[in-house]
Amino acid sequence: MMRDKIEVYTQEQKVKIQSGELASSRSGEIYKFGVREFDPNGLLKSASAIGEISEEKINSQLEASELLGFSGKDQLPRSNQTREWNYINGSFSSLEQLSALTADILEKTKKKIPHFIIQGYGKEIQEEVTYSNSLGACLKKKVKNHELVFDLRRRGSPNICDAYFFFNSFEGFNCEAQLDLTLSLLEAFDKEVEIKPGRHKTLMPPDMTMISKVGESLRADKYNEGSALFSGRLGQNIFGPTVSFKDCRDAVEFGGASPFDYEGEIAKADKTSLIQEGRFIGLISDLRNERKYGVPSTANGFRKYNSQVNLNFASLRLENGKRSVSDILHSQEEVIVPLLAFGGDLTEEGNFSTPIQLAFLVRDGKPVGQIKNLALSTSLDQFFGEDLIEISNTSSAGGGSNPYCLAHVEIQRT
Amino acid sequence: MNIDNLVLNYDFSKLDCFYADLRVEESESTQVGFKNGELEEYAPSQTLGAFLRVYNNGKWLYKFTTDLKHLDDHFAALVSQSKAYKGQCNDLFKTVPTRHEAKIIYPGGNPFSGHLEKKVSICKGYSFLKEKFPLMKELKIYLGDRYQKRLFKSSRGRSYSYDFADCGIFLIFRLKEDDALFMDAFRRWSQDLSDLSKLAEEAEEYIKESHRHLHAPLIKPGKYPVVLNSEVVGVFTHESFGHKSEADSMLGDPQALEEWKMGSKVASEKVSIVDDGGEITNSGYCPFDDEGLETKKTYLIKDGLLSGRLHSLETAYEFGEAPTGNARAIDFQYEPIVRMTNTYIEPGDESPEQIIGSLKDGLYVSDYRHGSGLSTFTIAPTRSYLIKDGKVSDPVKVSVISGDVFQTLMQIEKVGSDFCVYSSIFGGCGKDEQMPLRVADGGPTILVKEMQVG
Repeated sequence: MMRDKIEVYTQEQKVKIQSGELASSRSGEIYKFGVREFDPNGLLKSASAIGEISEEKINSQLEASELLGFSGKDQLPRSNQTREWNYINGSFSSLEQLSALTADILEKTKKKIPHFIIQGYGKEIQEEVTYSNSLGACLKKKVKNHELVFDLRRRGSPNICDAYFFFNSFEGFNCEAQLDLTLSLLEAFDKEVEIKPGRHKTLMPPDMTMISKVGESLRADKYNEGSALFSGRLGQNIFGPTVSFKDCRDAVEFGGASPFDYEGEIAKADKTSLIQEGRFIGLISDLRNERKYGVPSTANGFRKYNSQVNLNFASLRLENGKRSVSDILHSQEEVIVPLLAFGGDLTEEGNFSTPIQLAFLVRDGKPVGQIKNLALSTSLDQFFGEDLIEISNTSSAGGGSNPYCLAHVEIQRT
Repeated sequence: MNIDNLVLNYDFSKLDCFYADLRVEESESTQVGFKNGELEEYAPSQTLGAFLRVYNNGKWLYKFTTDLKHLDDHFAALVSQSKAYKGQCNDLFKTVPTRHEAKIIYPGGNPFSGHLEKKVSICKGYSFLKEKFPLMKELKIYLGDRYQKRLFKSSRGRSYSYDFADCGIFLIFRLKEDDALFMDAFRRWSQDLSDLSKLAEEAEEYIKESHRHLHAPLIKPGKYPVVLNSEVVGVFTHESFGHKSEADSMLGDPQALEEWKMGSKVASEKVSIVDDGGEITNSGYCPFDDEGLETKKTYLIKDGLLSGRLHSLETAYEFGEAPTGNARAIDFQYEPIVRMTNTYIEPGDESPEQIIGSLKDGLYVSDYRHGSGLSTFTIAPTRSYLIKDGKVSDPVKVSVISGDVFQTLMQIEKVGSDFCVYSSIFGGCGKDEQMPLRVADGGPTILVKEMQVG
């Protein structure tokens, strides 16, 4: 009887920011695991829990799940590798250390934008994930992630939130570049400027719904089912020549931290190219899709402790360009920089629209003022195609986040 | 381990602190998923965990753990950490009762436990739909159920226990013909598994209607008068005003409070918005919040005037207002923060037909994928129709409708006499890092004079 197991041990601590001061703190640890058993008839049984439970309870859950008649023959693990990856520099911070780091960035922020009230938090999470199976595989990774969130509201504003800063990295709170851009724009918050609706240059990271829509077509299952936007177009040019999408596994540079998947498959490279210079060249796959569609597994069979394997990305990312955000802004006469564009969505054909809650007009690299009541629309093939001018060389929010894109979009007044 | 005894008999007297409380959550959930007729997902989850709070020397310190055998040690560590601070505590707890209350609906525990075969059978009962509709390229069927039991005890003598159970089915499908794609979903919530097996005819009719949207043209972006059906009104209410009424968003800003005074006109006089956690037949049911208070019906807006805010003990103290019992945490890993429960617009007096009949041109939105709210709220519709000469006309594709929160509330011109609150087991409310929280929302059909449509 083949068995495999995922174990996740997480330690976490967080300091909360309320009205610009460190308020409460929270710490905790949690152990979760999920077991799969493949019987000789091909049935897949599963059991999971948060916290430790007895072997008797595990077996009882496994027997109960037999009723499902879940076929596991396509997902039978084959790995017997043993390996460890440790992405952690230094030890888990104490609450005092985390508080000091968060307070330091908070104080600098308050000095630059004293008219804003800051809520948010600083968080550090350390996670150890182990995959093991009865073939002898034992793959383990240790990662430490840092997260910093500022919800910013102008004093007296009737809004819940006027601006937002989010940063996430495996390398600590090294968010100076991203925070400096946000703060320099917010210094122009109180000055209002107008623009005419129409086609404008904007600088923004691609919306997550757009990335998700691109990603649908890069999955072996959706691609082969014919239900994805770019189904049937493998090998064709679908975007402009500066656009490359890769699935990234390397924690330090790309925020993936997924050298193996939860079927025991080890990724062959730190980055899997899926769209190369505009050309659609690859798909992600797992064991089931390898056996069903003949697309070799790319170690993308992930699952939560209590779920079945789902084909998913480690960290789907647009490849960086050559120049910094500052250089791009200084080279342009006029650019709209949406700092908060939330709630947008796409039609199935890839037409995208979103309101913009906060945008700034930047002339020759200098923020001129805030532009209110805007919405933007574009489409996937235009934003990543003929309307794309340039991609920045840094991520917008640390780690695995996407770089900024300078592109023409349609701007409307709302 | 008998968690009732563990929590309700916990002895706080050995803790040297201003205040402490303990919340333990026991929960079970299952999700079964089919994709194109094949079983693809089975996600059972059993959790038992505790969240500890200590308030001492002016600071709140929290810990979450699955190690319930060493609660004394965890509390001792928090109290020890609190000694590093030198502030003063506020007496936030005067309004919290000091009695025990229990609202246990399922004394036998999880009502959905041991029905795995039935759940699989229900899902399989809808697989025929993929064969019946040739343009359907993908059909996913999810059936979920959950059971939660919460126990709470504080050092001030308050304790409670309550439980809740619900289930639901979600059919997500994708239609494709040539280059045209349309994704839609049929969903139903219940508190009885058997209800979920009787929906085949309704699902068929729903899917037939989806076919009309496959080749629908894209709407020309611009401003339109919009009629929202009651389900969409729910998410509109939640996103446009619900989050605005959560008092913690205004902490530390007396100026904002001054401008957002009770009695201010904030909406059309036809609009009254309520938050009420006491209704057991909705997924926002929350008889007690996670600080020990009983939840209640709170008018946020009454006849267009600002009437109330949602509070935790801390925000109520800071604002000098009465607590409302809205401090909730999604599970044992998080601290309670101000959240909604069941939030809705109260019905008016015009029928939906009268409301649609009043428009020469407009847009009718009858379903949505998701919504969000900051200074601008957004709703991503799935099904939209043009209104022509007082009648619902052809389908049209819309990415998103949005509006300034305050302007839109003032522009609600008609409020329908129909009314429904919509619950869900899939998804929920997100705030800070806590998502999804079990909530419900709804209202009647409404007409908004003008919204941005893109």
